[in-house]
Amino acid sequence: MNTMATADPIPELGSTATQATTDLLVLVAAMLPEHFESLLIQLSSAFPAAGLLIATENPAPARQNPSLRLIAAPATAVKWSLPPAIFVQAWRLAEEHHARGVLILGPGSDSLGASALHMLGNAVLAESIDLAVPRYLLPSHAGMIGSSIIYPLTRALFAARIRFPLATDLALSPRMAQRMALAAERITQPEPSEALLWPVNEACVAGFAMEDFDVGPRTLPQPAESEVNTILARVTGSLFSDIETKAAFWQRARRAPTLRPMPPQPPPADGASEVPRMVESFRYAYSNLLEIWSLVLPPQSLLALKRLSLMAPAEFIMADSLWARIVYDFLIAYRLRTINRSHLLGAFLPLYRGWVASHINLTAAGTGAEAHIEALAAAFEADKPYVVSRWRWPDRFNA
Amino acid sequence: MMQSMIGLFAIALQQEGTMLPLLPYTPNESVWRQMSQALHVSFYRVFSLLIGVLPGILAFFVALVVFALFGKLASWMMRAILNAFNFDARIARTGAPPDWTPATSPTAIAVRATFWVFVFLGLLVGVSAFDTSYAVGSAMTFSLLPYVTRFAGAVVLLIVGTLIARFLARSVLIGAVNA
Repeated sequence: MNTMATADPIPELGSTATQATTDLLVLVAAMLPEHFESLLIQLSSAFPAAGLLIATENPAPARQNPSLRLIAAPATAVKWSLPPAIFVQAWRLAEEHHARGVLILGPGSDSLGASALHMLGNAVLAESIDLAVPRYLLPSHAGMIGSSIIYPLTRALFAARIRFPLATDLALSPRMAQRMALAAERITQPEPSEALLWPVNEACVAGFAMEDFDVGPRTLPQPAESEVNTILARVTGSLFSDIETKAAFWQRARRAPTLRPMPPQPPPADGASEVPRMVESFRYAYSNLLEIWSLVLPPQSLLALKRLSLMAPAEFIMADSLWARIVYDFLIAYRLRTINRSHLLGAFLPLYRGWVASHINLTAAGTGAEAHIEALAAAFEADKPYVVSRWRWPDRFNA
Repeated sequence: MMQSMIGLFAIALQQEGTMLPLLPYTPNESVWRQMSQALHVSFYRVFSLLIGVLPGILAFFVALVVFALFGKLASWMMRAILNAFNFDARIARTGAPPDWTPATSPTAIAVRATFWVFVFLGLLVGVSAFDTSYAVGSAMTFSLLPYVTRFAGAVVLLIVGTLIARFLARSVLIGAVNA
């Protein structure tokens, strides 16, 4: 008997014909029901419903476009940053549903307009962009950690002119989603839910195409005031670690990104009342942490900090070159483990506060916030040879 | 005087471990003669003790050098084995807490630890040999070894305590400044 002759070697074509094609997989983080409902409406107007698949941990709203496809996704602790688990989830769902693009939307993404969502999604679907990052229009004194550390470092070392490298919303191509998922799965320390991934750095190393798009204002999820200290340490430490692992890439000379028109300036915000407190905090830290700073910073920087500590709050201005050197020296000390890393990042916080006070004073004096950030990033770029030479030949001058 | 001292030294070398009996007091002898006799006795005792412990001192250094050489050999073998097993990469994958990860690689730490363990063993053997010869060579019955081990333990405690104190002091200082 020949049972093989009765078996049909050709798979049933009928089953694939009934599967809906997915152009864009949208992962939506947990948010309030009314915000989620608003977001669904915007997604419906931004993309054709037939090619859209929305994966979310939010319950389906009562009033929902019936043509929208919603699937349940495991809960991910998305607060103000995207945890590694969401990238793993994005890749698995994209692979399962053969999506041509992935759009990850964090909490508060309902404040983005339909056109912004369309711009991000269309970038990966039609424009062959692997990583589309939004460029938010934020108030002058919002996102200071990103403006003072993340953006200048990413631009100088990775030659990537992405204004918000740690954006809460991203659009990824399938290969970019795969790369991020692999990076997420390699993380063991710190606790994976607390870890941060750097999509821009990953895309640079992989040679993928990336672009950022003006999406207008966005309501950013705000961490609690008491968490600012830990957030700075967490973000800075994670970025320094990522830079350390990618040292072989960024130490090569790269063509600087082409100049772009100045992005729209946010409306000026009043923070002058905070400056005296920050300056006093800086002075207090100078008198108590000088011994620790002297293990990390060269004499010229220490002298400049001494001069700063003698300035009145209204005149407190930190030079861009000084801040660039401080960040680079702390990056070097992080790599060399000059002191315990927790102590290093703790000693960095008062210096950051000093920079914030300086930035507020500059914007109050008439300098545009974005103009100052761009000048700061240019200072980081100009000083890149310094960090490359110290990385290759650590002199341990303070040992 | 010098000839008598040399003579005493020669006697001490030949009569290792023996003690010269105390000279009896004779009331009609001059003070200078009695002082000279007392000095002779003390010189003899000291030379006897030194000669008695000299083998122990040599044994201490020989043990230390031999064990250091063994430690060098063992550390070389350890390095070869750990490199063959990609020990550093395996440790990195297990995810050691980043704050406590030292600057040197795990392989280097293991190799150094192996070497110093052997040196420490040599130290113990050498001290034990010195202690034995010292107990034989001297009239005193107490052993030196417990004091050496206690001293070493105290030094280790001092070093560890200092490191912990410095770490905690810095943590408190930074926490207070950033509060």
